[in-house]
Amino acid sequence: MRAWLLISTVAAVGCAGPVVFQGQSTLPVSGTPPPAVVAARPPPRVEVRDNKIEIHDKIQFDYDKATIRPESFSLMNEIASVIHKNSQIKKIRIEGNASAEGSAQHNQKLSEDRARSVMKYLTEHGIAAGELVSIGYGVDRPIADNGSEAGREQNRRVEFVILEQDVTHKKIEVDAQTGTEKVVDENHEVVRATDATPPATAAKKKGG
Amino acid sequence: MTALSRWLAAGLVASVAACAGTARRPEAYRDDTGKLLETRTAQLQGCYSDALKTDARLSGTVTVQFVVAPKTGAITQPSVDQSKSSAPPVLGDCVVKAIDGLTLAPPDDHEGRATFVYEFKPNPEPAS
Repeated sequence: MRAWLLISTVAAVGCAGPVVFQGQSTLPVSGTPPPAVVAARPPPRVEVRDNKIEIHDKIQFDYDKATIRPESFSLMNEIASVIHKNSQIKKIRIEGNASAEGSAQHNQKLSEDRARSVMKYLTEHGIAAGELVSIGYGVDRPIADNGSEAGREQNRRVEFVILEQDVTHKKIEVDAQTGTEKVVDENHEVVRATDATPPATAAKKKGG
Repeated sequence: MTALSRWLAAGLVASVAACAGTARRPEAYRDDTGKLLETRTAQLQGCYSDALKTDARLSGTVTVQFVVAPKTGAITQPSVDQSKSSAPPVLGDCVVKAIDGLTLAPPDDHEGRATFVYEFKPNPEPAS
């Protein structure tokens, strides 16, 4: 009996012993990170387009007054910044427009005051006074129906028209072999807006 | 031949009979198990790429231990040795899930107690 026990023990020891081992080297695992999402930049609120400084927002004023509301200060600062960066711009006309709500005379004055208020803000923020003129068109230039509040809201606005700007014309030769560009001729000219009517004249016209 | 010698010889014969299957040397056991693990590389890469969606910087090493069952070759008791791992637990989970259910063929007569280290590294982002 003891003999069979010994036989089974030898058999068990010979076969059941665990084998302990370690991987010889690390097992590499690569992964592909998702492509970096580039946050879409919001469109600029203020941009220079041909002979206009377009504002994709609205300068807010106190009701029936020419006081710029504080929530529009950042927009105003952005306008000043764009004018600064575009040194080719020599003269801008700030145009105030009103809705048909109220008397035409009152709206005329309100639009003039608001345009003047915007000009004042810009001159206080680094724009040379000589670069700016202001005018109020009252209710004369509606862009929407004054019969609805939505339309009247659109009509209450301030616009910026570039009256004068430097334009540089360059003639460039491109080397066919190297692709290098070379300026062979360059000239500057001051381009004036076709409707660059002096504000005084426009105001007189309005009054008349 | 003495009586003891006869008993030892009988034991040896019994042992050979009991281990009639495959009995790998440790190196072969290690290499065969390593090859078995490599069959799940694609699955691991998928799990890793999914994890990278939540954190693109995930990387590090995972040390996994498991037992290869004798006679069946089934990988059992997989566990991550956190003290020897630098990767976050989510990658350890990837490894445990990936190797679970693997079976070494042919199975070995001996139980295997294995330790392997995975290294997770993200592919460089393509130049834009």
